[in-house]
Amino acid sequence: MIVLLPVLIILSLGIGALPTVSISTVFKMILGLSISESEGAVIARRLIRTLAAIIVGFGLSYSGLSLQYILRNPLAEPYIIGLASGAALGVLLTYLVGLMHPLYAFVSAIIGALAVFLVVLLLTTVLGFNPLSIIIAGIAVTYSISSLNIFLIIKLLSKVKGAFYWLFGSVAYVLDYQLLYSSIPVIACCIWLFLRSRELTTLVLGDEVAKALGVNISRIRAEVIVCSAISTAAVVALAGPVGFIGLAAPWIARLAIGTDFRRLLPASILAGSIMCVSADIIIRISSPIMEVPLTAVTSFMCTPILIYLLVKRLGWGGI
Amino acid sequence: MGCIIEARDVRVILNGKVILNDINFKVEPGKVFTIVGPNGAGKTTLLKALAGIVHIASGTIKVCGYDITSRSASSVIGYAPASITIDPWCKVIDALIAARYGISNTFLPTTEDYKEAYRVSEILGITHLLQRYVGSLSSGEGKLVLIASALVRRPKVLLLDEPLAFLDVRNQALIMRLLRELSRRGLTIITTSHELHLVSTYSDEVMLLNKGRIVTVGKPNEVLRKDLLEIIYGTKLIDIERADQKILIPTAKD
Repeated sequence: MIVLLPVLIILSLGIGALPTVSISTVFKMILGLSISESEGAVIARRLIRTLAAIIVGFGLSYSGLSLQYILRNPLAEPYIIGLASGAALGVLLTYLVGLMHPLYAFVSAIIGALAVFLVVLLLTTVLGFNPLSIIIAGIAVTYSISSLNIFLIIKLLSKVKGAFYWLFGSVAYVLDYQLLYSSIPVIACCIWLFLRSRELTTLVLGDEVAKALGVNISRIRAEVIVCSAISTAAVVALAGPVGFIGLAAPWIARLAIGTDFRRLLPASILAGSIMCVSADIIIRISSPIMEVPLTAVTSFMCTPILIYLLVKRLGWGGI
Repeated sequence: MGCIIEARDVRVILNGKVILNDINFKVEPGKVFTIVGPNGAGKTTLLKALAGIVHIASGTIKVCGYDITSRSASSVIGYAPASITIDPWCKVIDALIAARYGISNTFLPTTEDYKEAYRVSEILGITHLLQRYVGSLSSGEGKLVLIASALVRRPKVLLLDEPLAFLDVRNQALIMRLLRELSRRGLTIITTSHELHLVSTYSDEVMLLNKGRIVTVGKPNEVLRKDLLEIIYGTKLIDIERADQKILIPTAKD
C-alpha cells in the first residue's frame, strides 16, 4: 500500500483534461529534463489538486477512525454524526453573507461542525447516551442539516463558482492557499491524536477497563471530538463534504492490520489518501469535461473493496 | 508480590442513590477475598470502587499504599469485569497487548508485551484464540480472555468480577486452581461470586454484602452459614456434604 500512493501521485499529475501534459511529461520533470512553462503550470495545478485529495483522505480517515474508537461504534464517521454537514452549513452561511475568504470559510466550518455536534450530543442525552443513540441522533441531524444545505446551495449557485460540486465533494477548484489553510490543522490534529494512540488503543477493552488502566476517558473523548471536528471542518472548507472515506478507510485498514491504534492510524491515513487520489483520477479519466463529484466515486469504488475484505477476513456469516 | 488493600468508611453514591455505605475492610497479601451477596447488593460497585472506576463520595481506598485516585494505583491493579466489554472486532492478541498500557513505557508494543500475552494465554489455555476476533468467541472463551487481560499486566492486586460465570466446570476448576496458585505466590485477589457452592473452595475470606452494607466478613465456613444466607437471599437453601465440607445450594422445593 505504501508504494501505491507515490505511483498514484505520479498518475494524478499526468492525467487530466489536457492530454498533451501526460505521465511522460511528469517523468521528464522528475528527471530534471526541460518542460515548457505551460506544462509546468498544468502539473503545478494538478499537484495542488492531488495534494488536496491526499489531505481530504488523510483528515477524514483518521477522524472516522478516532470516532469509531471513542464511540465504540463501527458506523461512526464524521458524516454520520453530523460533523461534515455542520461544517458545510457553516461554510455555506459564510458564503451567503458574502464572506468569501477561505479563512472565514474555515473558521465558520469549525463553528458549524461543533455546533451541530453539540445538537447531536443534546439529542443523545435525551435518548440516553450510548453508542447507538449517538448514531441515531447524528443521522437525524445530518439529514435535516443536509436539506438546509441543499436550499442554501441553490441560492448560491449563481454566486459561487463550483458551489454544486463543492456540496458533493470536489477538489477541482482548490487553490494553493486554501490547501495550506486546511493542511495545517489536519496535520496538527493528526499528530495530537497520534500522541494519544496508546490511550486510544485501550478503549477496545471497554470504558471501565480502560479507566481501571488509568486512562482519562472523558479527556480523551473530548480531545478526539475537538480534533475530529477541526479536521473535518478543514476538509469540508477545502473540498466539501466527501462521504464514505471516514467509514471505509479505517475499516479497510483495520481488516488488513488489526486493532492497535498506533498502527491503525497511519494505515487508515494511507488507505484514505489512496482512496481519494484514486477517486479523483477516475473522475478525470471518466468525465474530463463535466466532472462527477468525489463522493459519487468514493462510495462506488470503496463499497466492493470493503465487502470483499469483510468476507475474506470474516468469512460468510460474519464474525 | 502482593500487597494490602484497605477500605475505610467508603460511601458510593450513583445517580443520587446510596449504593455503598460504611464499607470497612482490609485484605492481606496472598489472600483470596470473595464478595458475595444478592443481586443489587453492591458487589460489582465495590469492586469497581476498588479498581478506581467508580468515584467514591467519601472514605478512602488504599491499594499497595497508593490512594485509589492516584495514577500509581492503576499500575498495580489487574481488573476484569463480569461481562465481555472488549470490542467484538478486536483480535484477542490485540486486546491483550492493549491491556499492557502503563506497564511498558514504549510507544509501540515490545517483544516483552507479546511474550507476556503468550505466557498468560498458555496458562489459561487460550493460545489458539489469539488470532480470533473477540466477537467470534463463546461467552466462556470471552471470559478467559478478560481474565487474561487482567493477568497480562502482572498485577499485584487482581480484581475479578464473577470470574467463574459463563465457564464450564473444567474452566471453573482451571480458574479456581489458578487463583489458589496466584495467591500462593503472594498476589492479593478480590472476586465477586454467585457460586456459593464454589466460593469456599478457593477463598480465604468471604464478605457478605447486602443493600450496600457489609453484613459480615470472615472465613468461608463462618460467613456461608445456612441460617444467615437464607435470611439475606430470602430463599431456602439445602446443605450437601462434600468431601471435608458442607456446601449450600438453592432448592426448588418449598
